[in-house]
Amino acid sequence: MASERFQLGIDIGGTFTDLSLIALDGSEYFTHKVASTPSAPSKAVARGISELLSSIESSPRTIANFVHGTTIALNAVLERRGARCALIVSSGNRDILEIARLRKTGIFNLKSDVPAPIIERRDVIEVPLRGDDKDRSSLEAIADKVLAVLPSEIDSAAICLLNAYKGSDVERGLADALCARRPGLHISCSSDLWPEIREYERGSVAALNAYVQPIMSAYVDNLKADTSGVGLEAPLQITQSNGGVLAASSAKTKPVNTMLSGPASGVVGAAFVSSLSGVHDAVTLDIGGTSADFSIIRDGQPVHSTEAVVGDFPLVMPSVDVFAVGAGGGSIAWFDPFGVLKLGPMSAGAEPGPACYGRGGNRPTITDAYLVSGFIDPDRFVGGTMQLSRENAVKAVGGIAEQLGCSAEQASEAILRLGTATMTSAILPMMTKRGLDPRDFTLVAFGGAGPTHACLLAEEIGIQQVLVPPSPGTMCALGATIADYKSNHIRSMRGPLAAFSAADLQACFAELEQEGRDRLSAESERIEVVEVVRSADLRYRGQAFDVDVTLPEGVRLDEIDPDYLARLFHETYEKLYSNHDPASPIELMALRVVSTGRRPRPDLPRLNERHAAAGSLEVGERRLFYGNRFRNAAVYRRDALMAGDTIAGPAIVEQFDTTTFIVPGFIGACDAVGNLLVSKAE
Amino acid sequence: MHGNSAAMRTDSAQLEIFVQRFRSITEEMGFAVQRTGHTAFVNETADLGVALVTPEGEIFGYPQSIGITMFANLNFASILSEFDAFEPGDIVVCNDPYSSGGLSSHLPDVSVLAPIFSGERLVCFAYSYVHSTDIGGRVAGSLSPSSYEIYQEGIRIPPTRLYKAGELNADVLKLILCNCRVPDDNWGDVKAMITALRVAERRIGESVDKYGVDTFVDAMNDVLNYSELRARSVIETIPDGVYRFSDYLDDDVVSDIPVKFCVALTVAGDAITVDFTGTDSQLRSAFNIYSEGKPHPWLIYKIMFVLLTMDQGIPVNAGLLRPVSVVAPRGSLVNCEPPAAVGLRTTTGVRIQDAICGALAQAVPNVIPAAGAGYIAPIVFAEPNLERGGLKVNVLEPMVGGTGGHEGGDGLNARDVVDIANLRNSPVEVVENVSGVRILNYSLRQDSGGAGKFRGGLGLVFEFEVLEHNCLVTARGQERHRFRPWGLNGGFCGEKAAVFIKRAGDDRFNPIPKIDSLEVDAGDVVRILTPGGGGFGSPLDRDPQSVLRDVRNDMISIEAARNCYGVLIGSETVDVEATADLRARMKSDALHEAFSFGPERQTYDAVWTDDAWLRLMSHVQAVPVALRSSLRGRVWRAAQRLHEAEKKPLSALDIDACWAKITGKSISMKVETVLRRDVDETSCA
Repeated sequence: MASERFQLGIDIGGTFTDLSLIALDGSEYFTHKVASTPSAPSKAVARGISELLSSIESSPRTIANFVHGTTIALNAVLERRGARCALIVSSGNRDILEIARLRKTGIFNLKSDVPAPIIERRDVIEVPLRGDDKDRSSLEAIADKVLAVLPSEIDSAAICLLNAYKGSDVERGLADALCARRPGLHISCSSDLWPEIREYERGSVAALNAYVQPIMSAYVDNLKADTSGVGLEAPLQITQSNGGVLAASSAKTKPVNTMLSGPASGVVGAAFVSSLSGVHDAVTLDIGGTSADFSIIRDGQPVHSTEAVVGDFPLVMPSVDVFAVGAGGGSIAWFDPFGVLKLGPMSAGAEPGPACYGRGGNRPTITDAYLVSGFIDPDRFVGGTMQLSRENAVKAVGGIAEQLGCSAEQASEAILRLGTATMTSAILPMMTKRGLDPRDFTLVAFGGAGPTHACLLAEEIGIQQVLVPPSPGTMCALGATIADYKSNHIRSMRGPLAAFSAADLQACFAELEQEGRDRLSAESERIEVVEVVRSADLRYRGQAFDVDVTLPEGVRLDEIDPDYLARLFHETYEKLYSNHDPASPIELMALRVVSTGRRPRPDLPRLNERHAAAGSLEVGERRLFYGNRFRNAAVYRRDALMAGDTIAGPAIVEQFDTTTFIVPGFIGACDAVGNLLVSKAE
Repeated sequence: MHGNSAAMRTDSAQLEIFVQRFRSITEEMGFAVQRTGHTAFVNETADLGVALVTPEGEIFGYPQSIGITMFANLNFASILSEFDAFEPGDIVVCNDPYSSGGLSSHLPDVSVLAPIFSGERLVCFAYSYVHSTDIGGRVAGSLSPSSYEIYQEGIRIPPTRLYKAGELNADVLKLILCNCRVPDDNWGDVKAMITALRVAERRIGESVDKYGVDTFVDAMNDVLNYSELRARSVIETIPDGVYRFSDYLDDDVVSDIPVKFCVALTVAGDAITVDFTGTDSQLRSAFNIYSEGKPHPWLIYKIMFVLLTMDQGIPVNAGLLRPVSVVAPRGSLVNCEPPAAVGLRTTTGVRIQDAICGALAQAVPNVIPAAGAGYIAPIVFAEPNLERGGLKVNVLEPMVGGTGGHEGGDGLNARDVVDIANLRNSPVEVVENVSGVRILNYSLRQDSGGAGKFRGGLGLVFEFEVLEHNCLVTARGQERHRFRPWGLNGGFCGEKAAVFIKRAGDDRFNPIPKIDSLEVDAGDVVRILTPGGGGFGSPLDRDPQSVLRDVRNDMISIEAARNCYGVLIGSETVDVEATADLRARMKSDALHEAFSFGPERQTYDAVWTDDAWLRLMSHVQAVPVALRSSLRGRVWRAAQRLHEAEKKPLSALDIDACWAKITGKSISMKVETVLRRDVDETSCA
């Protein structure tokens, strides 16, 4: 009988839909890729599931859990395909979205534009109500007035009242009054979604939610229909920007939480595989077609940011901190009119793609440079399913070579150096902004070209170790497969820390924790453990930035008081900035709780060790160009590596969806989990 | 290195790598300052700066995602010349414009500078400044429009080694901090800046190790050459010619005499010269700029933005502005002499850029937007601190207005001047949390943007109720209360600024003059309106559907749609035929002038002709600086009186006559009778 023995994770990308299937007992791990179907994304999902299950001769009933990552909400915002919706605000606050924070992008350009708000000014409705009004007798009358002016074609509305961060009663009351009068109207309340002080940011969260809610809701329904069509009835979960998962029903009402889930899942997957090899502090590098995405893992957990943006809009709830740099496999190298070599920001994308794809692209890209340099094999790209043209690549890079007066290989190296510099110049300020030094971290490389470029970047920055996971092309799907339930909660509490009583702080944490438990128990009955991490946003009086001070595990609620938080703050500040000032008064800004419901976390299957008699693992040799000269590099097959195998650079390790380049001076070692750890030779 | 750039030594495949590295290092520096700095300006206006500087004193590395944008060509030659030699571990501190060539352009901008060595060899300098909340002086916050000597604006720190070979000069530090109202914050800011200098030192060390010091030094010079080369090739596309324009500040705070800026901008081949001759003489208020007679950023920063609008790929560094020179008469507002006060140089600098843009608009009309609001004023609210005694002082919101429309696009709402410093506002919820006010309205101001084919961006309405007793509101920098932001190429001018108050118990708002310091009490409601940007192109050419959209969104009224745009709207749609008729009629009446200034300026210009004004300035510039401000005022009043008597535009001869009378020389009888009254009144006063 087919018992439930697998967890399934699925990630939809622009080109491929990736599947990842792990046995709950860690005995098996399968991955699979099918071409995406952008017009009806759930079709590819359904096809992928049936192909994968039939290839391992298993039935849909063996799947206990099905987690899905989707960019549907994100794309709706980026492409402005969301619903026309309304925003209800306090009187005098009509231009909350127009005024925003007064920022202007393209700051050096006199003709730069400010993105139009996703809700037009005419659909913003002012009401004589604030989120902290005590007198609620007018709610019914106000609801009548709102409905009198709300166009009938609008069925999704956001509410963001001034001071609603103090509590959700007024917004909720208005929402209920509206829904009672017009059933079917979907309301996104700012105080429900993210009750933090700062009306623009909170309103932006509510507006984004209202904007994508109808699309997400329809998508989830379609997906359920298509997957039950292939016999899959396991509960569906959707990944979130915070790296966790929530039930599909939550994603339908709070789709804003899924906005940045794609890259977040990749980092969650990377954190998971890295920790299996004992790597707990890492910078991740995911190179795709148009960008190189970086993120940070500390103590085995993805680092979160509250400064994420979606398109042009801020997203202040914590999301896995991913920053994109415009240097991907498709980034185009070119000369400016003054003869200076440049890279990007134009990208050949997936269509026509790099010149070597032979789809009509003729401009030199990073991928063409990898090919000309010999890092990738034109006959074995995506497992040999896609033939690349070395001739096209040489021709494209040849234009650069001619102008530089060098060989095509030297020109390729120049392009790659520029790519490396672009990444370096972006990542160093980002790390400093976060108070970190990349040299203390392992570089975890995934995505189509991450492993190809990782050693080049490590050398440039001075990173000592690179980790390439066993299946670098399906990291997002893996992340979805193993992600936990996760829910963030915040309460803005502003004032001198010393002015709060221990009882204030304890009561607030207790409430937030209760919210977390309630939220997670509504998600699933399968939640194993609820873990709670408490933190406080604190700063020295007069400073502009908060330090997120995390309370250690195991601290009892009754141990928390202002002195305790002050002590922790000084310690944290000292760690971050190597100084602190015990005499300076401290201000409290907010308290936070992250509730995590653990899902069963499987191990990955272990690799066997190589027997002495097994012979050479090298499968060939390739001439490649690196460091301004040709070298012979050994070529290996990733799926032939066994635990304990070591490989000295220069070397190439090939696998279905990527190629790892180990530069001279670095040595790769495969461990029992299947991770390839590439370190600087002593 | 001025003039045409020398051939570059850096490999063309390497140059971009250095461009990025240099920018990246400064961005790291900027984040270090921002993360650890103490004063409010670090957050509210990102009024901080960082840079890498060549030994010759030019900025070769400059951040783009943090800090002030406009200081990319600050010149360090003067400050460097104050020292015979540097050694590793030196850190120079300075805030005095007059002894640093305007490096710090007013005293709150505390600058630090450290040499960076490779072994014995001086490679470059790292620089940072932060606008300190207070640096002493006669008012809290150090800045007051009515200050007339720099001594009133705070402690002056000439270029001084705060650290010598790594040793802190504690005596100097003590002296400085003793003169400031918030010494802990000042010291916190200096420490934050030193952190940034260390970041630069480490990163440059790494680069020098990797590439070698000679390659690094070549690259430093070549990124400058490269920016210069690109800037020059942009300037070559601008038609040669001399383009003249002038603009005004409403007044100088201590009188109601408008302050005039005259610009003659010459484009010749690949170079630009900006001649400020005719610009007002230095004032006995804090609006002066010390430029050393050089192309100081406050005189020309908008030219950098124009060049970057025309070629967005030019690396931002001092090379970009090498092709620009200035003529800035000594003792004028754009090149003041000590001890003139300079605290409010932002207000002046912003209007100078409007004047420059007016000149450039004649050369490249498709690039330059109509005038923006030209208004940046933090609304500061002081209330009794009931818990700790004394006063509690907070910025409610920074007030700004709309930007001008331009070929291809409408102006932006409430985004003018935010570009100089990555400005941001404060959430209403936070403001109400820390200040005794309730904000009743913070929204866009309907119909404030100048009508045009491309409409000017809207200004703001900001209205707050005072909740405490005995409070004070100040708003330095309020401008365009008299002269409107001009429209371009047939576009209308933007709406001017205004302030109203409704005292507790009153039932309506009354207009009041721009706020100097306004006493308010619980129940009073203050309403501030900021200017909209000017429009670009004839409003009769605006797509009627865009007009309809603006009406639907209440950006413009249905009356403005009809009266300014000739678009008739009924039941949410454009009445196409009636609109075509109306537009045809309006077109035949329309005057098509390049600039639309509005009635206030037209009236003033009609009296104060260019001839009259230039004559006044040539007289004023001929007397010693100490006498200029007073003589300017007296002669201006005399001439104004003359005009009022004769109802005629003023001529150069009229000015000669008035000048002679005031300075005691004989003149014709006709003018004398008018003048006698004026002189008598003046002497009585």
